Amino acid sequence: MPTDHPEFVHSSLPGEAERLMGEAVSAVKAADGRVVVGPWLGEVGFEVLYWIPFLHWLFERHGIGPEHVTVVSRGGVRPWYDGLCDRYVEIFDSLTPDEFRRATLELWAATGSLQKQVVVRPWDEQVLDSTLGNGWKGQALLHPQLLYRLFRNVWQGALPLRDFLDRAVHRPWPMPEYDGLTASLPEDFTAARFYFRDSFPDTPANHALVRDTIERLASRRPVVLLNTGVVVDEHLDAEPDSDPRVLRPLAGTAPERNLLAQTAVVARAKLFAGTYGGLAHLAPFYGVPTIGFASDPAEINPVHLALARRTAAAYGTSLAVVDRAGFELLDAAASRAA
Amino acid sequence: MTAGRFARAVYSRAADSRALRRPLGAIRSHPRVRALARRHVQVLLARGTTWANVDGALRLLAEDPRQQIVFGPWAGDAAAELLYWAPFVRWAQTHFSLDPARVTVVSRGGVGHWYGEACGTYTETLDDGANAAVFSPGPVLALVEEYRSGKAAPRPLLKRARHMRLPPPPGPNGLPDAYVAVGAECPVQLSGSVVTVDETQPPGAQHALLARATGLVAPWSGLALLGVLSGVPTIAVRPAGGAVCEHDLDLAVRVAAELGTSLNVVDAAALERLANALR
Repeated sequence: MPTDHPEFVHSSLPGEAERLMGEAVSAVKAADGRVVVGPWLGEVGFEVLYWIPFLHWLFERHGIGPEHVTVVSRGGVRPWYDGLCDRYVEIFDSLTPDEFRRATLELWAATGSLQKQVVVRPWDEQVLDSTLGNGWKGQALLHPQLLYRLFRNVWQGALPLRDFLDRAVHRPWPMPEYDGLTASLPEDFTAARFYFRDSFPDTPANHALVRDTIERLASRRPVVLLNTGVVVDEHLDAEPDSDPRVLRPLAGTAPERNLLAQTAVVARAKLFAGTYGGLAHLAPFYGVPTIGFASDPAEINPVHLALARRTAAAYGTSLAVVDRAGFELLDAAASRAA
Repeated sequence: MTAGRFARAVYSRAADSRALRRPLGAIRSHPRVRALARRHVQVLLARGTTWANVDGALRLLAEDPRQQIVFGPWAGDAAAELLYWAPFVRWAQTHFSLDPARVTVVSRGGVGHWYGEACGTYTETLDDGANAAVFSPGPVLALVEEYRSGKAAPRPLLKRARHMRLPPPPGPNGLPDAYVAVGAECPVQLSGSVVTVDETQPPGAQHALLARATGLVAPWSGLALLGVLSGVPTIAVRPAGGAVCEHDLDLAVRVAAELGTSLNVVDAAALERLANALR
């Protein structure tokens, strides 16, 4: 989640946060509480770690109820927004993953790899038009730009983390259902998903680490791989070898439900192990002990690490971020913990 | 009001006056005034604790290549020394191009190597009679405390800190070829090749033991930080119900990531849950 793009770096102005939130709340009131939240076009990590806890705080603080709120996101993540909206609109019901991915990559190329929705761009409007028609134009729009404008200086280390923590509320996340899938899961299993990114690059050593880790975990209980085959960004899944102890119930899952399906599995797992990032941020919200792998942790924004650690603690669980040596130590210590 | 406070109040008012700003600037930059200020650098630091004052004091000291500078004496705990003070001293020496021969560090427990090449002299006793400017940790710690309380952003602090891998001190004889180091109060029982680090030993001796380990499991403490700074994968166990400064942990995790070391801070209950999940 790089946050060092020039467009992302702005000096903090006194009172700026209050002004931005005041404008947003005034717009909601002017629209009689009819709000469109989104469209969320970015990474899972920012959505669960920052966006949703911030929305809970904003809605509670300003008495915004879910009655007239429409959330626009992707992957069937309605359960994540429980308590925030009465209506969820799925982007992949209107756009194909290929269209989404192509537009996303083109946008990144045009903006010099700025992956964050720091302004409402034509692509955001196109997504809103595709999903909601013209209906969104008569409502208030709570666009992710609010999040990025409020907290970009927290991510830069120029404002204390408290600026975010004071504006976040962590509510219990209900157990999501997914027809036919949850009943077919083993009673006791480890969920896993590995993919390659800057902090866990596509190297022979990391391929071997994925293989060895899954082998080790599968020797203890079944491993349910979360790989769906849906690709919407630059991250490519690591595909472990075939193994009867490694289950792949999500292969071929429809894009419009792929995150819902992964969430339903993660929430029921005894342990989540995978690349540090999106799902490693999600699992703690369900109280699932989590091990996130990062062979090059210097690529991770340390503010995210700090918040992820605190979020896991808020949900009564742990998030360990490890490389191979760290995993070996954790495994040795955990297997002999008093 | 003391005479000193009165003089400082008058000076501050005068410095705010547009008409007096230029003449005051000329006086301040006079070599004799600066020499006088160097002898009384503590007064500058006591004027108000800001990073600008800290920077100003160091700039002043750096101007005279004959001026000996003492950083210390450090009398606090090892964790704060490793996380905040020693990285600050290293930054100050590099940023202001201080000749290490001019720099003395005063601390305790044989930890001169924690300061790397920043200091030419390490001692455990402050020589009051020496003609050296003393830069005590107080003003820096006051600013650190603003970060630790959550009021201040980390960036100003991080700009003035150089965290680095620490060289291992000479190790004692008879260590196994490969072993995991554990703190004496550690709630995790490890079998196999394990070496217990006695935290009542001097910090330098603890460092010598753990720096060669393949891993460290210890309560959150200076020992856990030593593991991180030595490049040893570390699990730091939070004490049950014990007060831990979250901002210390944030910074330690940040430093670990920058140095490419694995640090995980877990409480005992979470470690047990993780243990159940991994078994």
